[in-house]
Amino acid sequence: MLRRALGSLVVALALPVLVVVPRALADGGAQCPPGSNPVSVGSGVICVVVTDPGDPGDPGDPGDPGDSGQGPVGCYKSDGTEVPCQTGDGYWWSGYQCYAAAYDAPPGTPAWQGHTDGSLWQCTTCQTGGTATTCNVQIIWTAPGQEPGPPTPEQLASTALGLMPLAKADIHSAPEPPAATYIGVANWLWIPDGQWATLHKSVTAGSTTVTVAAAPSQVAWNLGPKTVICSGPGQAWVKGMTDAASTNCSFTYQESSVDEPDGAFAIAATIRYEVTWACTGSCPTAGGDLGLVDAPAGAGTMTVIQRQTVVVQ
Amino acid sequence: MLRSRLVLAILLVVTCAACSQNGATTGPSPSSDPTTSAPSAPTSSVAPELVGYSEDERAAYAAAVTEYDAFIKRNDAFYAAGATTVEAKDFYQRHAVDWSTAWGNLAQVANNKVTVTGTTKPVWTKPRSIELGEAKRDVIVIRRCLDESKRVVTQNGKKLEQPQFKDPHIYTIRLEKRPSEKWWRSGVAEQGPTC
Repeated sequence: MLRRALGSLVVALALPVLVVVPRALADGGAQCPPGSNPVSVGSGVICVVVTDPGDPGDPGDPGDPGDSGQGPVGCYKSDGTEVPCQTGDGYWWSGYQCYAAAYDAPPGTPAWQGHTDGSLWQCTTCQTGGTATTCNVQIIWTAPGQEPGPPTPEQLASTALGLMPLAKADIHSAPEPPAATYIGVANWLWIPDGQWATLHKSVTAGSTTVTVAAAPSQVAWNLGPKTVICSGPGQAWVKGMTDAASTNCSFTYQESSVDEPDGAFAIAATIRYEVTWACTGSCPTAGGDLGLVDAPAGAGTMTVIQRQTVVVQ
Repeated sequence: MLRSRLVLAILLVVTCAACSQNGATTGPSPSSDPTTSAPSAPTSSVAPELVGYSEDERAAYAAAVTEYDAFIKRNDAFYAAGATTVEAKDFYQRHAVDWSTAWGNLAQVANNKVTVTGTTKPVWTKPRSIELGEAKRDVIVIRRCLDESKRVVTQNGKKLEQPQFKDPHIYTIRLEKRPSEKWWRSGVAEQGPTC
């Protein structure tokens, strides 16, 4: 009898010591009743029924920067509003339209939704207008390779390029409209020298700064029947120039514009920039180039008429 | 004979339980950082759990624990409200070791309509390690036996039983002071065995 009591006593007293050893507890996993899950509350662990593990549904493409075509690749809301690619809340995750930062939860907890690989992220969207002070926060599991992250230097370069005031060509020609020009006459074409300047713009995300340089490379003149590429701004014609004056950017019409709408050719000139970028700070690559980028085109008209020759004997 | 074996068995169990109550802590290890002063000799004014630590380490520990208590007070208020407010986010971003996880934990609770009210009571708090200037930041890891029996958890307005609150548990908490900051950041308490 006493021996049995002793055995029970030893087991009863030793049990708390033995039960608490498992690694699950050391890892922060509490022993919760069936149907409930351990959830950290910062200062402790509670057992609750997790009905909303934070699955936000179909994310779309988390890597989609929210833009298409040849425009800048920066960070945008679905309504087209540009947002910072990185804030104190994390990286912009366009697929979920929120800022994401890594979230750490013990394996096997509801946030993992049964997955054993991938990673967890908390995705925050806060109201910034009016007096609203609450945030919507989702816990999101992502498969390996789908993690949100900082924009690449190439993306930052594209963002910077989108912020650059590429010059819209201020087109000039001689003869200067509204005066008409003639078939067989060389028309001087130029843009102001001030528009032939290299532009710079820097964009920073976290510890990465990308500086983009856009150097004018050529001007594409669409003159109606033909397009002419000039490698510089062209030479401005000034009244009083002698016949010895020359230009490397001109065009001679071989046909009249009489059949064109309003009797004039619609013309346009586009400055094309050679765009390169350099990265400083945390950079996987030191630099690169975005190739030739067209600025917005400057437009005008050119009236071309045929000179009539009268032979007088 | 049997009586003496009973006494011996009880003595063994009680001794073992006492070991557990002490948290089976590793003793304070003398700092290898030459910038910290040498451990001072134990005096009667030094708490037993801090014997062997230098004066600087003891002062850092006291400050860190004080700030952790303040952190917990604010933290628990956010859980009592059960809402992911901008105020809470800003607080964690400034005062949490891993703000994103602290914030996500609050979100998990708020998203599931849970509130946590009531009070907790530290039974004891001890240093597990004190490392000043390590890796360019000060790090103190504490172990705290926490009585959570007065905590009240509700979900969707209904009180949830918390059987694990019956016995106090030992929590391990990492506290950090970063080079550019004058304050201690607090980590998420990791639950360990009962005290």
